[in-house]
Amino acid sequence: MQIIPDKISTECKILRTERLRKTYTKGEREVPACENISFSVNRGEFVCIVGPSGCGKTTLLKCVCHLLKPSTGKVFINEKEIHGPPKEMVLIFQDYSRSLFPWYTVLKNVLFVLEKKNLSKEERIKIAKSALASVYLSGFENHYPWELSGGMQQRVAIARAIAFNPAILLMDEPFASVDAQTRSDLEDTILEIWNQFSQTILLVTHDIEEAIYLADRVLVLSGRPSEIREEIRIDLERPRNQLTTKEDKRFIEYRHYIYTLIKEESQKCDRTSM
Amino acid sequence: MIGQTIKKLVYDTRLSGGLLLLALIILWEILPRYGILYARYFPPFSTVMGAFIEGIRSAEILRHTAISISRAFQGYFLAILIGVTLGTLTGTIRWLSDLFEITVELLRPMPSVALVPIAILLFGTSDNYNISIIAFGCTWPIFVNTFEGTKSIDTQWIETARVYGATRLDLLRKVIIPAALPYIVSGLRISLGTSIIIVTVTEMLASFKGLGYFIMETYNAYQIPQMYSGIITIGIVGYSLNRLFLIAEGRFMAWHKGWTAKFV
Repeated sequence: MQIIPDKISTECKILRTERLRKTYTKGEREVPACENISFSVNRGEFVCIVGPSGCGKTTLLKCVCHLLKPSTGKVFINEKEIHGPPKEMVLIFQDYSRSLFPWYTVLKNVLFVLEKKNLSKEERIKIAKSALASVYLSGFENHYPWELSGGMQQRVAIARAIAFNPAILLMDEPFASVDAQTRSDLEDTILEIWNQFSQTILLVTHDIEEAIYLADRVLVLSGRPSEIREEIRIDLERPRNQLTTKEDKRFIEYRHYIYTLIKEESQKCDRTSM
Repeated sequence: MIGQTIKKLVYDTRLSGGLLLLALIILWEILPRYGILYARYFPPFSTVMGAFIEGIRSAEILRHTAISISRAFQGYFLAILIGVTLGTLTGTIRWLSDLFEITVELLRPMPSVALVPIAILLFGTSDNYNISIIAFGCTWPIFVNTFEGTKSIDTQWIETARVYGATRLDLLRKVIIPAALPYIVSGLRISLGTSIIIVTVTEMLASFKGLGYFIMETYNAYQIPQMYSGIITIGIVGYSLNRLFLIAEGRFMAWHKGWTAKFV
């Protein structure tokens, strides 16, 4: 199988990182979480990052949106360097129960992100409701998030991000805390939304199949300290389908290839931690 | 059939609770009347109620009650202001909590009534004397709970708000305070009870108005039924305030009840 490296074309890079590095201080020692991470994402592209568990994927995403300040390295949006959480970018967390506000209703959780926008109250409510509708949550506006199932709560978190309408959507293992059926539903919802709102998505996951199923391009991370080990363009036609896409011969080849890469990395990881 | 009825009575705690109270009142009526309790010191319920109704009719009890409640509330609201502000500041700003820690830990265990002489030196027997001590005693539960609440906030809520461009003020108003509110509310409830205790004690010690004063005054004048009517009134005031508090809590904190029921 031929792995085609990404042809760099700088003019449409919406997001670019340059030698990102993040270290934690553990007592006297400096422990690197990620090292020398450089990649770029094109406008409208869907990129997934996969890596062995515990390789600092969450840290990497938090550095990309500057919730954590990188120790060294730079992040650019449209070739402009950022220095704090940028308004073009939103991060959706894995743990929805800890990111939705339990003291607000579903609608108010979505309205929360619209407060900074220069809109009338009616417009805000209209946007919030249509965002909820696009994740199939019409009719649940006045429920509290904790009254909903896990999958529905993650939909609220997604609706909130859609309402904010950022150019770039970062997602940190967004479907890791829900059951398998809900998971594939959510994957398809995300693809629909990506199609409909033409956002750029950077999604981190430990699930190889999920990464291949969703992405235009998959970045494979090495074990700790994580670096980009390889970049794989996913050449599967869209719209993707949970059955036919995953039965495609190329899908299985990608899966095989990435699986082998990650297996190697996680073994390396185990050895270094021992 | 009878077994069923008794079972029902026992399990209906509301009803059996009322029955227990009724039984105690009957005992209170009977024991002094039959000389089992010394009726001069423990006048029967009906005698006390007579004094109570008389006190209400002549507005004497009502007047003292109003004064006590007003003092308690002024001190209580002052305590909320200080406790919530300080608690939030120290809970969210690390160096401030380090700065305040020793002072707070020294002041907090001090019984507020130990400050009575100081407050009298400062304020004489004006309302400010009662209010300052109530404020002192009520501040601590509110302060400590607010501190714990704001300190233990899940960082992901903060991160979420920051991702969506929340300013520091937004964070405080829409995330930190609501998230800490369950803690703050439990501090508020403890302090509400404390305020009633302290207002009574301070009035007993050095005031010329208020329910605490009324109790001591009737005691000194050997008007024992009146003394009991004052004690009962404080009981009723404390009970009603707590009841009102719970109703308000049920209304405003409904989300928290549902949320914790789901996760704890």
